[in-house]
Amino acid sequence: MKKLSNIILVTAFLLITYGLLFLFLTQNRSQTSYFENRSLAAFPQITAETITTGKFMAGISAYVTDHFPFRDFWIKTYLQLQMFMGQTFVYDYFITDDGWVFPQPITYFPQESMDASISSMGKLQQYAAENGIELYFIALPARNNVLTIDYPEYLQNWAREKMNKEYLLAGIAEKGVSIIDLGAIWLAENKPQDLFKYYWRTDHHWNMDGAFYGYQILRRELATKYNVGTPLNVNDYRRFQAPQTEFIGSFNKQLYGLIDDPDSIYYYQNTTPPEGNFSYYLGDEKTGNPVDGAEIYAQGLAEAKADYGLAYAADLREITVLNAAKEAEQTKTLIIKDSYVNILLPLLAEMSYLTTFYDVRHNSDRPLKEFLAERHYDRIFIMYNDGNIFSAMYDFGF
Amino acid sequence: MVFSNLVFLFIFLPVVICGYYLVPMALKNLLLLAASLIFYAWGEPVYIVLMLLSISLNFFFGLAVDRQQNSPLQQKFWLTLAISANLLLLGYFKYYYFFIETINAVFHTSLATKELPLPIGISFFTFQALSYVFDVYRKDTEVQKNVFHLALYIALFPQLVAGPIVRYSSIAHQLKNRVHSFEFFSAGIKFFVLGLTRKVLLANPLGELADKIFALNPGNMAVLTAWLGILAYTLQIYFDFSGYSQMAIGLGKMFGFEFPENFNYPYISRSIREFWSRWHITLSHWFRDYVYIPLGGNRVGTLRLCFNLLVVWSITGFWHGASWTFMAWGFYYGVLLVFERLGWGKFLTRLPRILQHLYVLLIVMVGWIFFRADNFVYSFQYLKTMFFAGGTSWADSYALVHLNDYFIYLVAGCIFAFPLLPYFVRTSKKLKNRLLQGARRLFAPLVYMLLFLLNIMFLVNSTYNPFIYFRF
Repeated sequence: MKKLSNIILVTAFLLITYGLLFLFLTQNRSQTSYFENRSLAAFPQITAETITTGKFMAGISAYVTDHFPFRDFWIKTYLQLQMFMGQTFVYDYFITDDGWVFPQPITYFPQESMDASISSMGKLQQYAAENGIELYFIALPARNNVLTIDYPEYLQNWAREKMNKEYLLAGIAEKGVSIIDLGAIWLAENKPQDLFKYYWRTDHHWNMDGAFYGYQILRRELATKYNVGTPLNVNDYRRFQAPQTEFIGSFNKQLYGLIDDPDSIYYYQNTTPPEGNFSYYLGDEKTGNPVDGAEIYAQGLAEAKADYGLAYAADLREITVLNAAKEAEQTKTLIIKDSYVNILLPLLAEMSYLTTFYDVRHNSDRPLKEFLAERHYDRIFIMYNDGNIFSAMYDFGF
Repeated sequence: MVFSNLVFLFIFLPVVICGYYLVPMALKNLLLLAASLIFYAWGEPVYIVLMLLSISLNFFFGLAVDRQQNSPLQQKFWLTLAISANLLLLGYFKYYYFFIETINAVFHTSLATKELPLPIGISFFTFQALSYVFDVYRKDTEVQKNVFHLALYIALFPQLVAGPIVRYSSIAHQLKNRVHSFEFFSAGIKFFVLGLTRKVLLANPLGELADKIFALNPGNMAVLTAWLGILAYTLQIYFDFSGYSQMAIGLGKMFGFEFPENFNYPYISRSIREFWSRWHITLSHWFRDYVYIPLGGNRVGTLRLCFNLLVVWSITGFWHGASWTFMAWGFYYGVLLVFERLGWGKFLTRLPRILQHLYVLLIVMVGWIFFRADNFVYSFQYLKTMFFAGGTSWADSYALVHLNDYFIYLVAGCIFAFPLLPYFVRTSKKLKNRLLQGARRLFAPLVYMLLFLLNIMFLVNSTYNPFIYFRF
């Protein structure tokens, strides 16, 4: 019996090792990993330099790891095991019983970084005042800041995100910037449990209903408090679903699609003229590339599966939209944005004749200060989700 | 290259096993030597030169020491030269930067220096090489006239980078004649899979926790966090190192070698003396045989004995790393061993067993703080937090979330740090029912392969896979 046991053990061990080696050598190689959203390692170059420096060996390790047989299966099973073992965070995500995914919260107080953000806002405010530009800071409600997350008891007081947001907004207000805090308004006007319908279960953005609701409040606040534009009429808009496109949230993607996500992709379309009156440019309206609106917004309509960027719009360096319906007004608005704004692109463009969407992250070679020196705007909206507190997003070059 | 790596497990190892069992007996050592050099060069392509230099020098020194058998003075000269050359190599790559930094700090000089990358396993292969020259000098073994055999002894990949430190005399015979059997190969797989499991399923997750906590400021952590951190590190270092040794022993068996055990459940010890007879056994034996006994060992007066112990243990600490914290860690054990020799040990035996165990665990955990921390300030701050003299609170959310998430690893670590598996195997072997015996034998391969598959799963996921003992 002992001999049989040894035979089974040795055979199984050799089968596994040589079997996986065989599969590794013979299988088709993917170039990219869909779930990880990255290119997989290529076979490293063999040169004297790469060998003596160890780069070749490091490259081989990366290559074998990336192309290991059944890689997705191993990772998915590992994640399932982590969930089964009751880990609070799986790949740094908190997953609720009903399939909502939340990233590990910020648990510290980044005062230095937030102070730098506040200081930058102060300088921008000063510039705007000196140049007769209206400046508004529109804090979009970040998911972690408005939803009541059902953390285990031991985590109840851990997250610092809401306190960090309060600190940042108080500091910006002290600099004299006009603030519209959408999150605060949402919380005042809704029961906490009703806010879940405004977010994706497995993505860090708001969904179309949330964005449209936020847009309504923005229009209302601008009109009533600052006399800018008019409140919108909900009846002018049509809500429709992307018929065949399945949504894959960014968190779910990183969790290898482990969550069975029932969310669907919706759009709001203005049924009164403006939509057809828009002209889109990558860059400015004079030197930029004119493009079809469908190349920028809602590309995912034609796809079987789409993430937030594909379903709505990706983060781009500069997009300019001309709205013929407002030609008489000639109002020009600069929106300094993060990805929360992408879903609202055509809606926000309704408000002015010219709207520029500018993303700080894609303009490191062209700080806002230089950008503004070459352009003229009537209004600047800083539209960041209120979890965006760190100074890199506020580096305007002043 | 490390054992717990997909390249090693699914390319290097299968290819070497296949080649090894296909080539005739006469070529097996050559193939293993070539594989070992590739294994070493994989991590340190340039330092392969250093390895070859060490092999050549010690081959030459072995011959020179052996040739002067009739001239003790000449023989001592060659031995001294061999020791100096080996220590010079080790000293230059491992301690040079530390010495210059110390001189600059003490004498306020500004001698220029640049930290060299530490050649992997230099402390291990240097000690193995020295063991060869010592054994030849002491006539414990025949001089090796085949340079390839000596090269294989020094560079043999299973124990090259993290031991066990195999004494030349204990392996000389196996270099020429060793037995290959199916049963031995199967035993090798068992050792290897268990070692891999210790490393991948226990040491790595526990190391993740320890790294997170030791990256924090001890003044800003809760008492529970500090205890979690040191418990995780205590278990990590044991499973990491013992796992590697176990894999090395297993691989040795696959190629017909029998390496000595390096760990014997050290955390069940009831005195520090016992602890060091169970922890890194081959290193303790090396220092005992080649340093402690030549210094006079136990056959000296009390004062000299104390001196010997303190010297040997300070060197042991220093062997682990070029820093004052390592030396202090070694000295700390030297002092404790002196106390145990001077009567504290006898007093301990009169205490209830549970107190003896707690004493050892506490002493060892405190020692690991100095071992793990980068400096004394951090270590003392950490100790203050552990013993309620610092820190923010008893427990906070950070501690509780990590306690929840690593609970299973901590519990499994505590369980498997005790000799439960040998107990289970012993007990199950006593089963008289033949049916149950048969079931046990058939069930065992299933368990090993399940563990192997779990290891693969963790490795595919793992980006966190450092071997602690590579530093040494």
